[in-house]
Amino acid sequence: MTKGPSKTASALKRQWPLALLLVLLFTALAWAYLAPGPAAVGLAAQVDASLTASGVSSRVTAVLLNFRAYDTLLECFVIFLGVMVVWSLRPTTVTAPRQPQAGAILSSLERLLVPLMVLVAGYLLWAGSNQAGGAFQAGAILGGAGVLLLLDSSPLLARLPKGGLVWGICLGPFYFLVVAVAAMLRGRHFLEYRAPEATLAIVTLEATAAFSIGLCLATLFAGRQPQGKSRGENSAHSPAWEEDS
Amino acid sequence: MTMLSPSLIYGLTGLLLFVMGLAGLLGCAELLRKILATNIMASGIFLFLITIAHGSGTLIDPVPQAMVLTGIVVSVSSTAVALALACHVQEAARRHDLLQKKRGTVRR
Repeated sequence: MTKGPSKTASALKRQWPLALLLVLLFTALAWAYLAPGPAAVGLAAQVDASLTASGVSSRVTAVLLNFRAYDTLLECFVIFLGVMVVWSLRPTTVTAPRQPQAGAILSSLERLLVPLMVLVAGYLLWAGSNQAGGAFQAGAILGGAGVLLLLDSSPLLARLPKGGLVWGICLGPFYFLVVAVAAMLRGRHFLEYRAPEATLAIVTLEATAAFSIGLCLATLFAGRQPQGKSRGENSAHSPAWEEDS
Repeated sequence: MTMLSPSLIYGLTGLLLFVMGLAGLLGCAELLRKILATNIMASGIFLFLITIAHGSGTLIDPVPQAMVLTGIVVSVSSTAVALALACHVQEAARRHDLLQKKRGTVRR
């Protein structure tokens, strides 16, 4: 499948207008970035001024889960939607090449790293209230742990309850929604929570969001809805294109 | 001319990555390359946003940082969706090729 030098050269010849346009675009962007203009006004001052009302002392966490919590709520649902899209697609015959036998290195690495990753994710979650860290970082690390388990097709995964995955994925986004609506029931705006009770709300939101994000990322890596063994084997033996023709 | 400070280098690198990703997105025919190119574009934008969050003042703006943090996770999930769809496209193309081949032998 490698392209010969002549083919590459002709492709380059064909694409020179695109290259020219992109060089122009970069020049324009760089000029816009470097050109002297009025100093950028960030929101750092406003965030600092109302940090005490947010319930946490980390600025980024305050922005994520209090000041702009609506964005974060939507982003949790975007990830949730990604999982739903992947699950609703029919399984294809085009998948990763057949997995090699899980080696001793992978399984011992998994045994060493997964508990450590869970620990680090917990620490990041806890640290998020007053320094760098939080739900998204913890979720990413949990997702990595899940990927490691999936690579080894670990027996741990087979022991997980079947419905638990769906509940775990729904937990984060829908708990967020519940907290948001609960604020309305108390006579406030959607997602409005303030200092005394905000800390509890943010910490629980972060914990559930991190759990669900980690599960979602690992599920996305798996690429399809987990099925019973017999069904999975059947679909592997009869490629879809044979059924159609 | 302004001095080439580290934040300037980061900002220009971010812009360069964005344009390189755009080149891959527009110039490559293969879907996998296009998906990778959008990822590179997103990385460039993240780098740029983080750089302008530092700005010129001493205060670091947390809002772009929060945007990047969520953006990374969202880009991972959108990449996963794109890859799942690309698998379907490849399967459909393969099925189409097979059908064409079959018809060709019937005609002969």
